[in-house]
Amino acid sequence: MLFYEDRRLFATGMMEYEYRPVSQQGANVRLILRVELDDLSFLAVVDTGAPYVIVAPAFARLLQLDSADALERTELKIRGVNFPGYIHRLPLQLPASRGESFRFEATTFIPEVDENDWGNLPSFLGMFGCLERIRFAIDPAEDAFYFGALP
Amino acid sequence: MGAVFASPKLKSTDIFSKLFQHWDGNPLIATQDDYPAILLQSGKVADWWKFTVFHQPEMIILPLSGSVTGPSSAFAYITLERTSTPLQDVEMDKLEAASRARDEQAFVSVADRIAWDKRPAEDILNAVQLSLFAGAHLKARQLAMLGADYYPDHIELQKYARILAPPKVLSSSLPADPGGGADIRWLKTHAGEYRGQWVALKAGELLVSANTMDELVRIIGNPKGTGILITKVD
Repeated sequence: MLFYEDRRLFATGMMEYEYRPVSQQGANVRLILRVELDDLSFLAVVDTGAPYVIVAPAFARLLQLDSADALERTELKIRGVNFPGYIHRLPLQLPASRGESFRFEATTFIPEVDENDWGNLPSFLGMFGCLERIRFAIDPAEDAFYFGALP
Repeated sequence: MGAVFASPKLKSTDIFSKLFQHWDGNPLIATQDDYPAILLQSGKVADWWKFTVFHQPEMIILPLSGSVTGPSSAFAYITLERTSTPLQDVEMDKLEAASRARDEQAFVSVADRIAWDKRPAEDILNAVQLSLFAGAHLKARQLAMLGADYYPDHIELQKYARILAPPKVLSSSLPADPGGGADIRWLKTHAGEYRGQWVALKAGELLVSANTMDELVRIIGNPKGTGILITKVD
């Protein structure tokens, strides 16, 4: 897929992404991927400034997780607001349009808030606990997100 | 009302003086910055003096020379008693304060000065939880992994270390799923037609649209494990 100069693999898979604001009122465009978290497909914004996978409450509900499997209830600051919730460890899959799909365990924050309090916030793929062990690159000409596991 | 005072010996007089000034009003509250370095390093002070103050719940700890016990000659309402028992856990108190203030930098600074290898498992676990609350996520991971290493039989610490560990590859050679890309292309092409609606897509095909997610899920069931993408079109 993508190679280093010495022919070592950099990326083993590619997926298409959307590049748009997360809502009509949104001022900033975001890179949005279709991911599968614990076998639930949804869209998530790549945010290298955020920690963990952060799942919007509407989708968190569908995951039907047990807080007994999580860490003690804590809070996470998201866009300047502290949200209560639980931290889980869940399998996340990046489904490749071309090449090979990639499945890994990611630390995941499941907010415990009413969907109205969440507002228009999307789900996020953060750097720490999620993307930090993945090589990735984007091709804006093709809206292509290339990814590969670290050896 | 609880207040603990600690002071270098040379400051004892000042403290007593302040105590008098405030006794009838608000009690004097010493800030944590008033603690001498020895407290920060060990959390314990041997051969200091515990003062039990009549009529008041405060415990006052001041260093004094000599070996006087019994009623204070200077202050009749104070009884002196020699003690070398641990004081309050100043290090953990400082961690908690930094966490409560969500001061990530201060939190890490305090955490880095604590000898975790001399701490019980419960302190490390508490510190991990405080780290998370402070937003010090990397420190939370480091402490959890340290704790799991020091206490391999401690179930909670093992759990924290596992959940906060760096991402772990499960498989990097799964087959491609072209349907995912088809869903993204559908959204790029048709989003304008479904603004404000929830849609269910599979392999680039619209299965159903609805005004709410609950309505959508009532029609298609929980999409978990089906490969169906559901999203709101904004």
